[in-house]
Amino acid sequence: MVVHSVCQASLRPAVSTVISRGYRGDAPEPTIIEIPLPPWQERAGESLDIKRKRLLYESRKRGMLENCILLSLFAKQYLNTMSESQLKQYDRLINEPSNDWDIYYWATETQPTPDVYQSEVMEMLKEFTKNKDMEQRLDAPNLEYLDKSS
Amino acid sequence: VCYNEAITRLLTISTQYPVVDHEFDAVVVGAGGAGLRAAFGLSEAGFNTACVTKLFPTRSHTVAAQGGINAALGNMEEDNWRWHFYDTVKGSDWLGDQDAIHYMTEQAPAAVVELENFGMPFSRTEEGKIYQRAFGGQSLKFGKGGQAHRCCCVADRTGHSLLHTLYGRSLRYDTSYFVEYFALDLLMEDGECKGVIALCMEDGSIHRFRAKNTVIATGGYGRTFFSCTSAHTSTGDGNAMVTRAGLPCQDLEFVQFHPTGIYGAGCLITEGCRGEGGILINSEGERFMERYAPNAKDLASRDVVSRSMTIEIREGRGVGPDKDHVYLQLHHLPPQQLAARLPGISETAMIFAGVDVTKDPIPVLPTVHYNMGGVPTNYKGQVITHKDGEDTVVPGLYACGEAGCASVHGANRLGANSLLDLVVFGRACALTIAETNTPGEKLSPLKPNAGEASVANLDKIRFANGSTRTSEIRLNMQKTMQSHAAVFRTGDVLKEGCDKMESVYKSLEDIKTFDRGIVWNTDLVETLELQNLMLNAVQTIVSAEARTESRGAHAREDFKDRVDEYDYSKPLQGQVKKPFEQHWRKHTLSYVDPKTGKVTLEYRPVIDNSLNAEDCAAIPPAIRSY
Repeated sequence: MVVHSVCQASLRPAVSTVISRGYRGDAPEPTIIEIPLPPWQERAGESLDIKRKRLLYESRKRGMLENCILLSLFAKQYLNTMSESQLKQYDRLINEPSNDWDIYYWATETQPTPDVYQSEVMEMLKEFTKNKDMEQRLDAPNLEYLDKSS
Repeated sequence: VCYNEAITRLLTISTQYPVVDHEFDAVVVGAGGAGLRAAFGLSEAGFNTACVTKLFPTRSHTVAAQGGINAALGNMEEDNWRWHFYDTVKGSDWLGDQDAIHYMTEQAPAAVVELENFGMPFSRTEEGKIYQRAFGGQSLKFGKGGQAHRCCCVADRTGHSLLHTLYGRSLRYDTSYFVEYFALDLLMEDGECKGVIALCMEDGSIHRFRAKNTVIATGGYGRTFFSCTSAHTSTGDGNAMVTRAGLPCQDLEFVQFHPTGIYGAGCLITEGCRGEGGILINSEGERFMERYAPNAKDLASRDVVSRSMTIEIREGRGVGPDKDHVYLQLHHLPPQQLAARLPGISETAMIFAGVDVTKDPIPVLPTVHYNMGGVPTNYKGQVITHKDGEDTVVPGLYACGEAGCASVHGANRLGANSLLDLVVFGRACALTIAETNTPGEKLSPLKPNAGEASVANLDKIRFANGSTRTSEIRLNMQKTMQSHAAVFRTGDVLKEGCDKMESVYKSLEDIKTFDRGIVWNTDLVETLELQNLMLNAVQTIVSAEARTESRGAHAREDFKDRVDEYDYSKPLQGQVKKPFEQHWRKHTLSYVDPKTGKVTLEYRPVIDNSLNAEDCAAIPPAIRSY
């Protein structure tokens, strides 16, 4: 996908309250005015199968390890059985926010999920993150669960 | 329309892969902090620039960075960039090139102010100046004036803020982004780099990006080890492309182990915890860092802390059922302080270690975190090779960021120097290219079948039907590296590791993939990444086995001391300088024959002079203690 530069960038739906969750020390909270980035757009003309394949790649390749582990395991459990609307919700959730940490904080419920991302899939992700079955989550899974011949 | 007209052509070797050729003035591979800064700098200077990246820019691993950027702005106390220079040279254990370190530390304040002008919202003091915090290894007055506070940050999202700012900025200047394109190889002709060839994941087409200038900014290769703090995207793609082009990589044996990765998952617990008062304790409840670094204690340099933790474990004072890790204690800090200053840690500790930080300590272990080594460059960002005792520039090729090795970090990197490295050398590559080229220059011709071998390899991997799966080979490599090339290294363990890695490398020939498609084929991409990781792994372990000394992050139990040209623990008077072949204060250059996995090693000298002796005196080697 080639991204053209846009002459009129519009503001993304920004998170209205900025609560810092990582290490801040005693650094005072800055006023975060983010430079507007081009808006995220849903891909037109993509079949559901192709969408699933793309979302698999995009679930496994994240900005930090925590999300790599969480989203790969989530994708392994749910991606192949998601309905069309769920796939669209998931696509938006993992591709629109510009800070990968935000997705992690929403999934772990340490920050409230903005209304635009509140959806069925977000609920599934939050529930999944709670790890009620206390599975060991030490790493992202291998891909071979997708190999139909095995 | 903001990109060049694409010409579709079928390669003679295969009718299955449509090829699209592009022409640009410059192509940048990688869109993390360094790649974006280079792409933006080039576009601003009027060069038609392409940025090829396997990830959306704001999802590069730079986003994980929470620490900050070091710069001697002097906002919290009187400061001087020459003190930062001293700290960095000392931190590198005198393997860093002092001209590059001079360049980086002198440019640091201007680089931070420039980012501020681009709109990066740094945290501020009450007077409105940029707030700066303490970080490991940073001192005042050449180590004699106590802890320095020179790390600038954007609350807890410095990495994200950097990416967001640079990406947004670069779009105003017409940079062409090719997102979710996997770069396969460099297009080299007669020792000159003429561009890159890449796979478009969306439709499986092959793209050749022809350009007079190619910048590699592909990050590190933490994923060669079983336990690391890096995202799964850190696969050393740029280093591997350079290796396949017959060029050397430098200092790959120097792998930084961050002291506090969560035992098991490897997720990072930031150094900031120790900055806030967190302490490391052993099975006896002792704050053992007081013994190893009486002054800096838990805020000593990372390699010192990692080695100390490993010694405690090896001497039987580890914790847990297997006594194979130590604890990071935070519960002695007031709960309000924990909540206000370290809230994100609670989640990570709970989710990946099952620990409540207000009650219990976090189990931690030194975990692979950063690669000091990479593609060798001079301080201007130009890739160099070493022939007949001379450094020579490879025309058309540049490298910056974690993928590059200028070398500013030498044998060990100080915290908060990496984000600085990204912006300074990303900018340096753009400046150097702008100095020596003009926009719109005609490109020299490229052979019609350039990149053929890369497509043949892609095709072979796509239909591979051997007996060992990608995930198995990857696990074998990771476990071998983890057992044989971790924090503490000894000769026989390393040698065994080298032999094992040789056979793991050969097992690639018998690899089995299962996804035969060409659109969004994650199996294929992860296998290409494995090929790249493997080249990095063999160079790392063979270089480590050869280096018979301990320096910075490379610690040998059987060779505990640094072997320099003089013994710096004694007065120099009367000592005879050792010849180059007999000491280890030199850079390793490693080459691999991709067909066999055989590694060849050469060495080149460290640059000991600064850019300007009057402006900044070089620091002669000394014994390193904190």
